[in-house]
This record gives sequence, structure tokens and C-alpha cells, in this order.
Amino acid sequence: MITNGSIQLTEKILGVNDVDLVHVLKQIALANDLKHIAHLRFVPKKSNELSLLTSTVTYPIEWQHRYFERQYVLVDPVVSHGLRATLPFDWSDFATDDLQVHEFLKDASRFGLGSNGLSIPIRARDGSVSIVSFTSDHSHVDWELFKRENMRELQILSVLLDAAAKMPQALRIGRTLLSQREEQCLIWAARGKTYEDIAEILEISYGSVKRYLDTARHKLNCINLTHAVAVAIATGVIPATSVR
Amino acid sequence: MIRLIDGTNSDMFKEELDAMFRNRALTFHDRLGWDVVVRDGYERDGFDDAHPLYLVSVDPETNEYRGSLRLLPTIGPNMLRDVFPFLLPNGEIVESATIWESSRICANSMLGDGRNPKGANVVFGELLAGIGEVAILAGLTQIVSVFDARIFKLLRAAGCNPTVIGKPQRIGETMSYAGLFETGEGPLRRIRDTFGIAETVIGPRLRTPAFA
Repeated sequence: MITNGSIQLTEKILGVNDVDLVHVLKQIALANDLKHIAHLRFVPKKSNELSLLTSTVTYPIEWQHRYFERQYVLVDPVVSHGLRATLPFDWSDFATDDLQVHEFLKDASRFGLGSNGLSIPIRARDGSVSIVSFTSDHSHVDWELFKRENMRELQILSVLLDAAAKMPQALRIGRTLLSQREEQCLIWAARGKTYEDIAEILEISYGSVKRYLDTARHKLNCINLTHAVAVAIATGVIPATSVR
Repeated sequence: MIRLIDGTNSDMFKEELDAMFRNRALTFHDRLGWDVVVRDGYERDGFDDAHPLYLVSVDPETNEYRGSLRLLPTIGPNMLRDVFPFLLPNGEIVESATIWESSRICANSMLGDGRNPKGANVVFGELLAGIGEVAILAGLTQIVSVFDARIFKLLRAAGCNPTVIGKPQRIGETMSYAGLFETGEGPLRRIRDTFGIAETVIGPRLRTPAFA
């Protein structure tokens, strides 16, 4: 369900659509019953510490100003936790016995950021760390259900968002290079074959087909297989004639 | 009981981590003779600095260390990509937000000496079930791992049949394999059934004091 709106992230990464990222995030939030989406990216400094490089957030502008003026990045538990976390974490896990944190959370609650929060740390191979956050006003029960049903796509979305946020600095990416197996699997998927069918046709295991299609999806910066097939054909990564 | 330990709570599990690094030195250096660096009794490598998630099995009553493993997201540094890329053909790479890598699985060899009649096998099962639970928690679709013939035998005995990818190769004394494991409710149920595990193996998550 998180797929709604994410297509624009792929287009941004591909450089075919220079849409404003905050606008895209607002659309994704709206389409998926989320309140806000935020992406904070940190890079290592010489001193081995990390410093905030970019932020792309849908939070109210008044909150963004306040956050900056009060240097909340030094207090925000999402940041202190996210820079050290590996697993996704829920904001309800924060202990609020620290007075500064307590005051911060109290202040934040006045700006309607959402009653639930989930953050996913993304560590790229270039040493940068990003924290992608999703907030909502779901009831507790619905929020737990939402997380359980969507965690896989939230992980993928976080990596896409991270790639899209890096685009202005990154050089235009060259044509995606799929491995031979990835290409074969994707062509058969484009022809409507299931994982099982493809495994039989190529005489490889089900698990391998699943992996080749997933790593191909990742290389194509797509949220799911259907979208990956479309992007692969549209960009010529797999020849259109091969699927006829 | 499995403790999930990452950078957010490592301060609270110093003893568990200490026992883990020592057990790794004992297992991989002393016992298996792998080409690993041991310093001050610890087997530790660069991937331990890459923000892994550790699964550490402890005795639920005494809190004593029993076994452990390490999980690394494949979008970051990982062993298959950075140490064993030759196990995969043609420069193939496993990289996805939803595939994490398991490495350095080991259990305390003192287990099974009578104090714990069920021994290391129980710990192995608990660690596998722990991976299964983490996969669901983190939305992972597959787990990738490089393992040797010894672990492969244990895995098969556990009814956990990995898909071997690429070409197994002899590294040092033993054959090494790269394999993929399916995740989800089905595979988790199979592991639980095999080891007679009825419920979650993950211990209560201690709240981390958020600090400024």
C-alpha cells in the first residue's frame, strides 16, 4: 500500500522528473494514511562524529524553525537513537526520564507531528547515515497493525527516499547494469511468469529467483517488482522486444 | 532467551558482548583455526564497527552467555560482498533493503556438559528462531549467509534448508557456501516446531534511556 506515490521517487532518482521531494513525501504520506515523513542525513566529520547534512521533512514550517533555533538536533531522541540503531524503532520506546528529552517531546507535541512515530536507520556504503521517520495518528492497535503489514515496504521506501535525497549531489546514475540472471528473471517476470514458473524455466531454485528479482528491483530503485518491470522496459534495461 | 543488541543498548549488555567476543575467539580462532585476528582474547573485525545487530542467547535464569550471531544489512558493508565475493559468479552482488546477512554464529562449547543436557543444539535453535523473529520485525524477505560444511550439517539437521547460491569453495580446511534463507511466518513456524519452541525467544526489550 506504501507504493502509492513512491513512483515519483524512482523518477527523481532516474532524473526524469525533478519534482520537489517534500511535495512527493507529502503525497506519499497522504496516500498512505501517514501524518508526516522525514529524512535526516548525517555524514561523518573528521572528529568521527556525525553532522547533519540535509533534512527533507514534511513537518510544519513553524516546527522546522523552532527545531533549528533551539538546536533540537542535539536533544532529539530520534537522532541520538537513530545514529546508533540498526533495527527500526518506535518512538514509544523512548524513556522520558531525561528532562531535556521530556521537554523536547512536550514541545514537539504542540506542533501536530502525529501521535505515533517509527524510524528506520539507513547506513549506506559511503559512510553516511540517514534516519527516515514516519508518523501517524492511528490508534495504538491500528498503528501496530500498520507497522506489521508495511514494514517490508517501509524499509524499501526508506532506501528509495535516501537515494532520491542524495540525487542533487550525485552524478546522474548511468544505465543500470543487471546481472545475467537478474535480467533473465526480470524478462520472464515481465512475461507474466510467477517465481515458481521462472525457477522451473531457468532451472534454478525458488529462493534464487526471489533474490534475483529483489536485487534487480533494488538496482532499479523501485518499490516492488511490477514497478521494476515497468522501469526496466521504459529505460531499456531490458529490451521491449524481449517481452513480446 | 535472545537479547537483541545494537548501538542503542550495547552499554547495558557489556558482559554479554564480552562473553560473545571471547566465545568467537575460542570458536573461530582456537577451535576452527580460521584466519581471524584475536586481540586481548577478543575476535573482532571491521564489520563489528559497521553497526551490526547481535543476537545473543543467554540462560533466562542465570543470564549466562550461551551463543550468538551477527546480522548486517546488505546495503552496507557485509562479508559476502567484501570478503567472499568470489563465492558468487560474474561479479554478482546481493544488495537489498530487505536482505540482511548472518555471520559469526557460535555457541559456548561448555554447553552440554551436564548442566544443560540439551546442549548447544537448543542454543542453535533459539538463534535460528531469533533470526526468524527479527526478520518479521524488520520486514526482511530473505537472510543471506556464508557458512562452512559444519554449520551446513547443523542447518540441514534443523530442517532449515538454505538455497545455496554461487559455487561452494574450499577456504582453508573446509568448504564454504553462500546460502539464502526464506523468512516469514511459515519458515519461523518450521524452526519452532523442529526445536519445540512455543513462543517468542526474544527477551523483554529493555528501555534505552534516550540521551541528549
